[in-house]
Amino acid sequence: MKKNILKRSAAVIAAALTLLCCGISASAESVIAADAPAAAAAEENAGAAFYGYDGDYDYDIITTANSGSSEKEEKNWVKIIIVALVVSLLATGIIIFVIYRGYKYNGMTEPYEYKNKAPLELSDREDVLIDVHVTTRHIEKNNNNN
Amino acid sequence: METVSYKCLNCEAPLEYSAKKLKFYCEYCRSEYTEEELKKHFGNLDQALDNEQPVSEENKADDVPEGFEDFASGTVMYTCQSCGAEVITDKTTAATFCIYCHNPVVISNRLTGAFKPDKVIPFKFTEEDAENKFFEFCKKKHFLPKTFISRAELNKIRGVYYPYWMVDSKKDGCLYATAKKVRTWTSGDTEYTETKIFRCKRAGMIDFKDFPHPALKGEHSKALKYVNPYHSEDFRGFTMAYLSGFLAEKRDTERSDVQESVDQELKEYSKKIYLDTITGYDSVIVDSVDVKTLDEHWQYAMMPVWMMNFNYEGKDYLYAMNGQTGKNYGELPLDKKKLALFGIILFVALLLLSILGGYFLL
Repeated sequence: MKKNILKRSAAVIAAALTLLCCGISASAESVIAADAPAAAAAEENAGAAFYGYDGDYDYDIITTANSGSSEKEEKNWVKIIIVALVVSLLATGIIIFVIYRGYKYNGMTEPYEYKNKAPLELSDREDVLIDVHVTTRHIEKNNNNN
Repeated sequence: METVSYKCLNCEAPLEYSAKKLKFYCEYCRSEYTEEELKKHFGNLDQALDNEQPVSEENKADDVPEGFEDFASGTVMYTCQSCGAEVITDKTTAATFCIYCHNPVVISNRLTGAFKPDKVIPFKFTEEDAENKFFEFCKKKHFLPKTFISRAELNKIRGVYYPYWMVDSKKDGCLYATAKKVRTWTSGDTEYTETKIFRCKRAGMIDFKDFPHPALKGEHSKALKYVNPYHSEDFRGFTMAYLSGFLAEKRDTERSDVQESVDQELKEYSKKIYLDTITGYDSVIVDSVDVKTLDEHWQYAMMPVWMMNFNYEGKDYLYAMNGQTGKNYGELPLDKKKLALFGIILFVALLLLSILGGYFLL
């Protein structure tokens, strides 16, 4: 039973880590997605400028806006890959460890069924409240519209 | 009376206990006998065990009974009553077979006086069941080396009655713990966390029944611990006849040797039992546990285990199966290359899943 619990826990942890990783990836993607309109707007403005002003100057602006966006995108991709690497490595490590222990200590479960074989006759049961304390935390509101 | 061979009342062939029929069975004439029927004929043998002097460490000369020869330190040689061959046994062997004629022999001298077991659980799984269980057990293991099952020497699986101390202990104790209840709520832009701390006390009597402790030292003691639990409803009064057809070991550990370890284990169980009654809290930390023994009763019992030793690539492995419930315990060889390959595939799959996951979740 203990072995099953261990296996299930490992599976749950691995699944949770994978989901977490997916979530992080997703949030990183959403950052890229959120940046995309800004980049598009910059491109549009720059485009408008391109038609209205001197070609060389405006062309420079457009190039700068595009390279900033792709740099951000690259950085996010690097972040996603690093997080994914770490989480996958951790999840794989946990699963391999559980499998290894399953072979090494196969069947190592509770040797005594104390719940069935050792009845308790309670003579005293006390739960006394000895202390209460309240802590507060100021929740900072996110005012950043982006 | 030094060795006892139970013979069929019909044809005089060796009689063995059959786990399949739950009766004593003659393989030659297929006669079956109940425990009562055997007691009518052999009962006096069991009664004699009470009267004989126990084998003790202080009286080592008595350890070599008549008809036996002291072969080496702790090993004894006896002459098979059936074929006359000389058979060597360890100092703790209480039942064995003649290696030449396979005649089952119970070394009654090792089961006398204080060494007479109080109770026994007979085998419920046959050798065939044990082998099938082992194969089923191996089938579920995907990282076993391919050649392992064919190389495992299944003919070495053997039914052994192992000695255990069974302890009935009445404890009176008390546990003090500090428990915490945490509540969190939000009002406006403030998050409040209220922590209530309680002092918990639980006191009462715990009646431990049939707490098992292996009564044999050495490499098998861990396996003997983890093939537990056994179900108490199958306990029977000890009769030597149950050992016929199986191997059996005599205890080499006295109560005084394991008392401290049993006390410690029962204290840990007491802690768990008291803790189980402290519910409804977010965390509980034990401050102190105090347990006193009111009454204790120790019994010496023989429990059935299917045991197999095997060697794989130079390393010894031990497989044990509870002869009553079929519970397995043992270390198995692991194909490290297979596991490494699985690890790499798993890692790559998880990596791809987590990288691509973002696209699908969006």
